[in-house]
Amino acid sequence: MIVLKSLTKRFGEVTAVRDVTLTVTPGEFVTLLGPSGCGKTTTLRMIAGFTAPTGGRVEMAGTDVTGRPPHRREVGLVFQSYALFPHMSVQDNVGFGLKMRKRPAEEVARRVDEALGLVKLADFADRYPSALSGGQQQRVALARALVIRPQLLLLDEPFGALDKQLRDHMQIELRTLQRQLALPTIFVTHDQGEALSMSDRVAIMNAGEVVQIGTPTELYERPRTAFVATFLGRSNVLELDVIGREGPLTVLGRAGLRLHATLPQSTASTRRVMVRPERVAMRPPDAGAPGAMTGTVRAANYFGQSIDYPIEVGAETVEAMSVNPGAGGFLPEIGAEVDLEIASDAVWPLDD
Amino acid sequence: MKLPSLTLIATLFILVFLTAPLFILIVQSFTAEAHLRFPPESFGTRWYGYIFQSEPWREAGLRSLLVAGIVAPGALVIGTMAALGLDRGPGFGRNGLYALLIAPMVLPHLVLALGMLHVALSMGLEDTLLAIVLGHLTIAVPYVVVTVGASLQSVDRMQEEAARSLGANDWNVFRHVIFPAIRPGVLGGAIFAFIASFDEFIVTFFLATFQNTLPLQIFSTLSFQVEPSIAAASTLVLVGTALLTALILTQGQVVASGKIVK
Repeated sequence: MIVLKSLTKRFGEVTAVRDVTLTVTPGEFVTLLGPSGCGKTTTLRMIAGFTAPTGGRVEMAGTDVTGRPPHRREVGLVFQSYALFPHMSVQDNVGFGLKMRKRPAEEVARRVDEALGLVKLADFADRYPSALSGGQQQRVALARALVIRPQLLLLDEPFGALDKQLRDHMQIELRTLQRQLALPTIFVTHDQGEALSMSDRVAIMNAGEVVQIGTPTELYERPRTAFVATFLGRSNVLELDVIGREGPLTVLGRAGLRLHATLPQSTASTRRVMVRPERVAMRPPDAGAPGAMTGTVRAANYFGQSIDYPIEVGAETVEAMSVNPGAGGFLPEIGAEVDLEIASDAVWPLDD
Repeated sequence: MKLPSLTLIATLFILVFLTAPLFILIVQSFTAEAHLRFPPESFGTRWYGYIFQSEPWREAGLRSLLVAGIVAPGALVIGTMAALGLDRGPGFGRNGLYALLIAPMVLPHLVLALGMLHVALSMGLEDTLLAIVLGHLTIAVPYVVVTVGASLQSVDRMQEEAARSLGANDWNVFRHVIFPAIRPGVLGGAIFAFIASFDEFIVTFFLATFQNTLPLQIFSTLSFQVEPSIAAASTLVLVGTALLTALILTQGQVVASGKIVK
């Protein structure tokens, strides 16, 4: 179990990381996600021991390791740049950590073989890093970190330098391996797709603070702030007036826009809510439909699997996303009028 | 007919201008006569035989080798530590310290030598091998500081951190990550240091009275007569220096091509 308690780092006047508290349970894959400069890398460096925190603690397996130098922390580290030792063969790279631990040569050889087998590079033991592709180098870096059987695996944007296909492939492979070894892992990235697809839990950071922690579903469906809502996936963040109530639902609106939402009772006269574009349904205009809103299609952005439509409703623009329906499906023209339907459970209130 | 380009002509001219004196020296060193003349009328290895048999020449040559042989590894250790300290140490006063360390490279050796003579006299070290070695170290250390300092810039900090996270302490990080990366710079620095010491004239001239080194021997021979032994000795020095420079250049190529020799 890895515990971060109120971890804080100040550089002079600037607070790079403020009060980060996080627990990684055995086998859990936790992602630190945030824009560059949000403090995620500084947090990672404090966990690895390269940066001394100005406040708070890092605990591993119940022991406070805050003051311990990196080489005594049992943390496996994988960098975006791989950081392989260029003058050592693949097996010497992988065996480095064991050599530092003064393990007997036959044990080193056996465990290096094992680790290279795990990352499917058994045939590359004698090669030098310069003779490997980016993906292979990344696997060597991973094997090198795994072979020491660390208490925690730290991954710093490990797929940043790989092309898209290879990245998708490596993500699946890494996650499979991590599950298989039940290795607690902290993964740092600014790529929200990567964070959603790989993580057990995601901690979203902004301006040095963790703004929300949760499973990918929780964060995507129930973001607390507009920052989370827009950073993780795309969303319509709408500032609307409270118009009245219809049964258990609150009616929100502004100009031609009308939404029904389940909101806690409050006296506020305006509310900020979020609607995901894929929850905005479009239909051919039908004057007779009850509760329908009519808008004008401003553009159509084709992405193959989906098409985005910014739709003007009164003074607001609502993003709608349609999964490509194929021939015969409803695909409105630019400038056309459409009816919009947004279910009440698609409207999520934000705290800010 | 196509005329050779101006660039080609200029290049050839400069090459001839630079190498002609060396060429004349080498040809002269193979004279069989008693005096220097160009071109010589008869050839032979007479003067090479002479400098290897003559006691003053042999003694001076061996002393030069001995001094440079002590100075080069000494400068290597001191210069590498200094460069590491400048690169990794606290930022305060770094530039001043660097300027101080490499000052002997730019200061007139005459000024340095005068100062060294005073120090050597006050310590009773005048005309000792120790004084010469210390004097040469002052001249040679900056070369190592500069070359090692430059190679340290190219060391990947991520590799160092990876090594640390894998359990390497400071010494092991240096041994397994930093040193292999800066080795060409260290070797180059050591060779420069060797050459700087081997060729040093002014500092040795001030510090030594009877402890002749090769440059001093050439000079003192020159003061009496223009003997072909000078050309022979100079040619040997030239060949040695050229070989060492070639070694630096091939080391450089290894770095540039990214190939690692085990």
